Amino acid sequence: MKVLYIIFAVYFSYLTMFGKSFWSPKYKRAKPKTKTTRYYHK
Amino acid sequence: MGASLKDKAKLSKPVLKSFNCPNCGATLEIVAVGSTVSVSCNSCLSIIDTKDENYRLLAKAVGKKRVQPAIPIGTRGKFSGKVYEVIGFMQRRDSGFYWREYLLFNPYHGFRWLTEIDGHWSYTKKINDIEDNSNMWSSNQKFKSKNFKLFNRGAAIVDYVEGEFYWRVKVGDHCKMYDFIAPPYMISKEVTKEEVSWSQSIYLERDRVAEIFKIKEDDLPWQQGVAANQPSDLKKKLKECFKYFLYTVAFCFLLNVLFLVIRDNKTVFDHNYKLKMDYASSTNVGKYKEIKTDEFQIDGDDKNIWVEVSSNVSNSWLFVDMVMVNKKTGETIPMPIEVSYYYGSDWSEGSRSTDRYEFNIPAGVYYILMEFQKGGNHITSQYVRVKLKSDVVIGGNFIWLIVFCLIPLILTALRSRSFEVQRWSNSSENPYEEE
Repeated sequence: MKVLYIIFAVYFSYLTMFGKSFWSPKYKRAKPKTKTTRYYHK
Repeated sequence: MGASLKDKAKLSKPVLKSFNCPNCGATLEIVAVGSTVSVSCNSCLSIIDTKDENYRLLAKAVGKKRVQPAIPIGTRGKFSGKVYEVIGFMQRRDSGFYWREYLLFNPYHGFRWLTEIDGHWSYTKKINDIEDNSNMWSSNQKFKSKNFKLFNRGAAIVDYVEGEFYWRVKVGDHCKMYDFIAPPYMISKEVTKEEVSWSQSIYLERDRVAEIFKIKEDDLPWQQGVAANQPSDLKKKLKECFKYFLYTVAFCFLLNVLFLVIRDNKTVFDHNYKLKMDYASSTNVGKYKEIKTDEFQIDGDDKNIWVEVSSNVSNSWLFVDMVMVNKKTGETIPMPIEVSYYYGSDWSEGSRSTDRYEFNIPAGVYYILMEFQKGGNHITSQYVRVKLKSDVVIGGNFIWLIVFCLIPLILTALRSRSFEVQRWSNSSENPYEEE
């Protein structure tokens, strides 16, 4: 358990020190969307 | 295996008193002479009063099914350096729930018990220095400054008897029984018309029992479920896990704060644009005109940048195909981004601003090219705001860290709870029953 938390802390330190992100969304070029699929899906 | 061990053990057993069974005539031997009050006949299972001059029958066994003890009578084992011999065995029950008790004897140290329930073993001795402090307001019991929780209240009915005992015992004898637990300990109170007796048990691992009596572990009953007083290291692990969780989160939080101070976190570009329809191009009918931004400077190599695009979308979406261009080298960094915001009277989805990060950006002078796609409701005056910061601390990482650190903590807590739920599933006082 201790080792696992050390790994978490080390990885976080790496991301923070090198200004990296663990996850960031990727956007692809939008396909034409209709009102039906976007607006009335709720 | 049982028979051979039994024979072997009997060979070395000192026979101190023998007599014939008044029922079948078989020769019986008593080990705890002076203490033994009743003994069962090994041949016909009748129970004989050994304090009676004529060895009168306490109970005559008719068609009784023999129960094979896992540790044969006569087997010896060492507990804390003291040799005890199994001299009696009985099976007791409480509404279809059975357990087995082995009476152990040492001529200098007296009697002890070994109890087996569902393959779980406990070493038991009588206690006298206990004050009964359970009452109608509290069902707990204190003993030697330990708090014991009431685990079970019920009856114990003797179902089978074999060997010798220091009281007059026969099948069908019953008493009220209360078990209190503080794993690995358990204290039990047995109430009969004549007396109230207390005993204390400590949980014994199965392999330890096999080692003590020098028998194969496989010959002992298989363990099922969780015993009332079975110790669990999961609570300790949970405490440890929580400690590591706090240390890790605190360390990373401080590191985050430190880098918030160290990093530039500098706004390098921030501009608001009104989008114009592109009427000139025949292929771009109904689309917004492309935008080329002013130039801006990014200092320091391999820095990250944070880009935020905002727009006044309203039940609509705007896709911005952004490309950041290095003026000197012509190198392009694609940064497509979408803003969408939908809402109703009692719901909303998306946001009027979206952000993203780019990494390892070389220092230099840059500008941005933007193309647009749109959908949903038509907006007469649509704006888009582009904001760029360089050398930023990514706050999202800290959220992810907390999420990851919580996983082992939650799993350990669930395992610990599941262990306790199993433990208490056989209890008359089950605190988890209502759930």
